Amino acid sequence: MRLDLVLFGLAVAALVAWLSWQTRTVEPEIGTIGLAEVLGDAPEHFRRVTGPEPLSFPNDHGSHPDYRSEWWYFTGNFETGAGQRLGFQFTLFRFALNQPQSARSDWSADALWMAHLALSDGRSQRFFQSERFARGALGLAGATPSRWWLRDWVVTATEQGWQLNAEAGEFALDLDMVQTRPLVFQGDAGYSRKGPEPGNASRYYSATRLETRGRIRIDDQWLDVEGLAWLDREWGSNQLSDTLAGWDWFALHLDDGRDLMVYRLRNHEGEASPWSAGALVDSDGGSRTLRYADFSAQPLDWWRDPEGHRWPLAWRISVPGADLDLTTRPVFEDQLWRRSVRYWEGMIDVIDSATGAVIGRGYTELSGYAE
Amino acid sequence: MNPLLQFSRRFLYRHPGQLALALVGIAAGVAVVTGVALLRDVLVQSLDLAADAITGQDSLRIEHPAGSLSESIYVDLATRAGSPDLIPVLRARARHGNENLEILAIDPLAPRTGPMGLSGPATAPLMGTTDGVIMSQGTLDRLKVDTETPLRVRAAGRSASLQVVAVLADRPGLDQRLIMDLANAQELLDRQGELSWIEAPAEARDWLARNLPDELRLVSADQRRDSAARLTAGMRSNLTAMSLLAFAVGLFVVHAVLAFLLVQRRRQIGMLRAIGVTPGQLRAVLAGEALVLTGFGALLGLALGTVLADALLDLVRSPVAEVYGMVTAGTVRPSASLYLAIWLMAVVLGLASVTGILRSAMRIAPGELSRDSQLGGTLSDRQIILIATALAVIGSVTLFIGQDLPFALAGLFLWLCVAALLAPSAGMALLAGWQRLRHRHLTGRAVGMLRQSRTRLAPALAALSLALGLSAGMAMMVLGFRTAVDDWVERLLRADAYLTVSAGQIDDELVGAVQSWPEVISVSSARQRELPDGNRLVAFDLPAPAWAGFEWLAGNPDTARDAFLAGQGLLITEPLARRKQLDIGAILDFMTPQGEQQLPVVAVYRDYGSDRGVIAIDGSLYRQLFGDERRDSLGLYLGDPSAPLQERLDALPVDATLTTREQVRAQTLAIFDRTFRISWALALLVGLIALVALVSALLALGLERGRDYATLRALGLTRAGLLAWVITQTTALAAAAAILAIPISLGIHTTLSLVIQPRAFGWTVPLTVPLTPWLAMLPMALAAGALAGLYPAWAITRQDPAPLLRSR
Repeated sequence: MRLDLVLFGLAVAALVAWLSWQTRTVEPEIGTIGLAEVLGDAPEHFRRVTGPEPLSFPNDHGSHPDYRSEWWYFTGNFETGAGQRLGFQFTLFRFALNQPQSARSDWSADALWMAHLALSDGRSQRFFQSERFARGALGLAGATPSRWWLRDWVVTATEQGWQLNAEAGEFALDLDMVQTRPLVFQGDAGYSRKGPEPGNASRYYSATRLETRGRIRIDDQWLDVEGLAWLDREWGSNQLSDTLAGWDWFALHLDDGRDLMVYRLRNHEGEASPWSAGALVDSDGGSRTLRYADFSAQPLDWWRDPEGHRWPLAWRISVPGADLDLTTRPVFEDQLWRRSVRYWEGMIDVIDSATGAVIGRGYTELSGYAE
Repeated sequence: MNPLLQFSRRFLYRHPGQLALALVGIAAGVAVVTGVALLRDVLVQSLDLAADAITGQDSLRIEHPAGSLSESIYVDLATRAGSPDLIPVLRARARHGNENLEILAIDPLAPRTGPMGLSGPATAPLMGTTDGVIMSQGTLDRLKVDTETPLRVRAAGRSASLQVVAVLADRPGLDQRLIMDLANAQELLDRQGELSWIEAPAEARDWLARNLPDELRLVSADQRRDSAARLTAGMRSNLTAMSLLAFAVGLFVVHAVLAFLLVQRRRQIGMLRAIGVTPGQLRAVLAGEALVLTGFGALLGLALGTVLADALLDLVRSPVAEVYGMVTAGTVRPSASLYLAIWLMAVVLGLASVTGILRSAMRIAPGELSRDSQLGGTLSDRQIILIATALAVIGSVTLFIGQDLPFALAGLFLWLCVAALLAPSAGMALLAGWQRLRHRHLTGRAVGMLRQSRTRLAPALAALSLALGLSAGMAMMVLGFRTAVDDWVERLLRADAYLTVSAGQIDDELVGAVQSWPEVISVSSARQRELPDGNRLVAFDLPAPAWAGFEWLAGNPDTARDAFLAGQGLLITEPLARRKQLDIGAILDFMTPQGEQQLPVVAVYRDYGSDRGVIAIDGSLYRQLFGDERRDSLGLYLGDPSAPLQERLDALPVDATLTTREQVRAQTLAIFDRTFRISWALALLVGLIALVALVSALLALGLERGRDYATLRALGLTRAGLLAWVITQTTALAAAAAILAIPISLGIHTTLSLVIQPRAFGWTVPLTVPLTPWLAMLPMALAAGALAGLYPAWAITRQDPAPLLRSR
């Protein structure tokens, strides 16, 4: 090939390349939030949780604007009449603005609200997720003792529990949850310490066993469902210390009627923090707090997501004092949140480590693995 | 390598100058077309790109017919069951120095993925400050600001200091836009409770159809694009017409150069034919050459045009903002399909322009060694006149058929074709006249030689005449229009000074205070409001002397005035009357907060302020219907126009500025001049391409007439003499083209002023004939002609005459 033809070819290629570069479209990058950062340093003016305080209901079901962050967290496992496994998560987060807006406008807000709605379909192994934000103004989002909402995703208090209605395009939930056990106050009467500093703590209570009936829509098909749900309520201002990288949280409904919640706070080296804790609820509703020394949680199997992050999806959890040696396995692997916060939250099976028999169901939340 | 390809390649190597000229010609033509096409897209898509950036492609817009809607409507819709992600938007115009900006205030938490990718708490800076704005990197660079220093802007009639809290990657929809939080913007603009519109994703259509209250309407992305297209139709058509002319002139260059390349190879082609090369093989090689030249030149043109578009965009940015109230993107957004379409058009038309030459090449007999016989066009004078007459008839009919702008442009284009067809004959006739006058003189003979090369020179002469005619015609239209605008402003501005405020507002109280100044005889006021249909409503309070400012085009001034003052009639501007075909007595519907109102049109007046049209309403009636006490400006009629008023201004409770009548007039003309900078730029480009055409034609001529020049040298003409000879020829050609350009420019000016302007913008322009363009064009054409002759002259004088004389 002659040099001039090569040069001509190169010139044409360069021009075409330059022109195609001009036609590129810039896709917006979606910013992600590190939850640990949001839950870390809060300005001084926010109240801190520094010791046990009596909680009063229904008022404490509503929001606590003096504290930096707060959430209302439902998870649950269901089955349809045809035996199809389904899991759901609905979470309402409130993050107070460092300074409430002061403009002369009804849009002036004191907080950002975020809601996460997810549905896991065990049969098709599809994980539906939908995220929304709203400002704490004009009634777009909020939480009163009897109603928690972000736009049209609404939880309404009923005589016996809560009703959830949420519609997210390809899926929708319409659930009636009945509280069958007394509220469980985590830590010391709801004072849940997460670190050594004063204020490294949250107010934390749970409704661990909510008998649920309702219907779930996937695409155009409504399915009648039945199962158990779990509610966690938590608020605080500086709950996580800087030394923590994330946490592994488990909420398990055992077939023998017991409910087990443990969370393993994790430092940057991946080791469990001594502030990890949990609670065991007996079938009669009595509960006891589990401290770090009372249980252990060890990852068994890891799953690598398409972006290359590794997630420990299978665990061995033992509570020697309660004669529990459990293995948890996800119903399916990809129950990964890919919105502004990246975490794994999904339905799991609980297996007796000794016999290999399935003895319960639950939910696992893994955070801090994709940062 | 194929010997025929070798032949082609070696030949092009030996003539790099001509090769470069051909590439420049096609590249320049394509560049102007590309530049203007990209610019057109920016004008149409400007409004839409912002919506794309915020809501996603093809978003829907919820609007209220009254122009703005209450935020409670948003809250109601957003909290209903199944509600899609709706985004509330408040829009306002703003300025930073000379840059026109747009404030787009949104609730940054409303979109699913956050504004332009910023999500959830990451938008906290916007909400966490009282004056935070987000802008794109490109806008930041253009405004020459940074995130450290406050950004001073003027918005809603006041100055404000904003803080850039985040910078986003460049996206076209974000150019020149300041993204703000709604709460902060409502306070800044003093528009509490108000939204401009609500954005909704495309897939929300069904839900909205079920849930939207009756008084709201849904506007699709297509409808928005249509309205932007309508808004800028006039400007875009003019730009397109100019770009196509530039392209046509570029084609002349390609034609001239390829013809020239062929002339030089006549001997070789004759020999190739003699050794058995078939006409088909020859055609393939020559067509291949043309394809490579036009294809590569067009690629270069696309690249140049993309760069050019950004430069042109700088020229249109402020007029588009001033005239249409639109913020344009900071850079153009090319698409692969647009590039491909222009490239294909260039290649096809380029090949079409040389089919004549190819045909004549095929006619070269095997063994024919002469290279000075004519090639190219084969039309006789009679045929030309027939075609020209036919085109003129069709052009005239097209020009006056209907009232649509495209017809007018097509008609003008056909008439320009007539001019292009007739220009060579007319030019040659002029040269013949010169030759007769100076037949003993060397210049007469030089010109006489040109006349023998008519076919060769025809394209160049046509291109040059058209380019000069177009530039001069445009200039005449612009100058004539400028005079008309100047007269209009002069007449309109009856008050001695105009008062505006930068902080605070002009309300009844302030009007009363100003009226009480002893220097003031009377006060007029104006308040503008944009109606949802794009029309502007202006509320006037007009004292008696102000009425002389109107130039009435229809209606009885006295009865119109009485009806207007009694709140029983509206005045409308000429563009509105023309666009909506409204006559006196026509009933006009317009939306007010109190519902739809109907009033008759009582008079039509001349106005060059808005091509969308303006409805004038009596101030008291406006305040009663719209509940809006504010005024944008006051006109002060003073007993003594030179009375000092500064102290009185200082005593007012607002930051007020007085502008004299002269200053307002100067500002108006400055805007006018900015509006037409793009026309000047395009005219200049067309002229430059025409010069390339001239140079290439003369080069072809030089070679074709090589023997004649050699004879002149043999007869004793020195190199310097030959240089003068050739420069005389080019200057004479340019002079002929300039003379032909006079009637062409007059025709263009008349058509633009009397036909195109009314159809594009809705207004008529009284026809005047400014002579300056002609006076400027003649010397410029002569100088350009002389300059254009330098290279061909040098090339011709460099040739050794002996081999040329022996060649036969």
